[in-house]
Amino acid sequence: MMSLGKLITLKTNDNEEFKLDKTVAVKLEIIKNIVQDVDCTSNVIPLPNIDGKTMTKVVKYWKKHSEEGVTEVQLKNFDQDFLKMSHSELHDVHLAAKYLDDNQLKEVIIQEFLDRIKGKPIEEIREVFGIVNDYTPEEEEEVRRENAWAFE
Amino acid sequence: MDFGEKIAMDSGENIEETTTAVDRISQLSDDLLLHILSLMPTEAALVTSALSKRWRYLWKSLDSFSFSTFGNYEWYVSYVDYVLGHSVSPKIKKFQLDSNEPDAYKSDMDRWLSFAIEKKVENLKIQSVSEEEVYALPECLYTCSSLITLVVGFCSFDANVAVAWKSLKSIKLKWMVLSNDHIVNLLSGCPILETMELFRFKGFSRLEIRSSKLKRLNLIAYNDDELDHSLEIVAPYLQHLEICESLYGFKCRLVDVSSLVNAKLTFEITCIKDI
Repeated sequence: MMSLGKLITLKTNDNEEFKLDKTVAVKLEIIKNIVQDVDCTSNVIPLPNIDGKTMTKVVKYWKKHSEEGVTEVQLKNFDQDFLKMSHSELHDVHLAAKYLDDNQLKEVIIQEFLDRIKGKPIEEIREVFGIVNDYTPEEEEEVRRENAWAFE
Repeated sequence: MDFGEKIAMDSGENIEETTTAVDRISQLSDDLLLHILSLMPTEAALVTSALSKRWRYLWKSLDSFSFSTFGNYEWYVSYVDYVLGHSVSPKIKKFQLDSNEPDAYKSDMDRWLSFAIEKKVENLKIQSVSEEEVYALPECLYTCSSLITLVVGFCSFDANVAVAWKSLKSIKLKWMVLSNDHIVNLLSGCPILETMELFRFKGFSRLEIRSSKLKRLNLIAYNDDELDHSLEIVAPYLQHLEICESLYGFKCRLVDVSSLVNAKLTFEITCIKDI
């Protein structure tokens, strides 16, 4: 176990380094846990599953959410802007949050995915997400018949 | 084979098109897709079965369900039976049942609840719609030890059958008529309860909370149809108390709330002006 210095360095799989202030890091249970798990003498924590581009986003989110005196409204506005990213970027951030065991960030991402498909008809969801309909018309008809309750 | 690649080859599009096609929800893991589906009303999750083959049976692995009455009686019952009958999840995380005719659905609701209880439901929400249509909670629920959060609205339960919700941390009771015996039964059956919320409650006059685990109590009432409502609160370990009441006819006595850290008291005053 290593001790917390003034700065914690997180190193991504493409060797990008993120220095987090101790005051930010300490508020994050996730980092505390990683610090305890990693057996090394330096203050560098390797993140083998996360690339720099994704980690930039995660760190941006952490910093804002641990800001001193930040208001709920400010956080709401920040989240709105933060979530303006492509589906695959959103997916990458979700995987990172999952790896870092950050439940709050995970929930935010999932809610965003949900908002992107909520209330949309099947054809539109396919279009938005580029889902290829690999059913034959007969198969699709069968699925709709099978689950008729939902298609009324 | 990657679909993005396939599209590009089939249509002879350039690389840029391929990149866009790859940016799709289909890349997401089943776990994540299921998590998204679990936040939708169940019928909306069922609709996604028509998206593509990958989505056809995904809903059967759902561990969260949210049902509210629609269509006619037989139609709705056959729908819920169909969904639960095809469920392959060994556990149920969230189960939400809203009914507008509990009298007609009583035996069906009991059956669906038993299903959820057998699958060790953790978060349960059961609601009826009015005082005239109260749903009597089935006895099998009284000893459901897997419950962590419970929300019930317009329901009734027997004060003489002991509850044993040993994992329950949060309870919210809405539009319920509760006697002092109900309250005693509830509190003694929930040893690790942390939060208790009562919304538009009626009936009891004493709230004695001796558990040191229960830290938060919210009483949101505005009970305008009851002219005289006296309430005594004894809760020596309570830390957070919120009372939101109509001042008219509500007499509340805090006998012991010596550990209180936060209190939020909101009173509604009705002024009547004689003309």
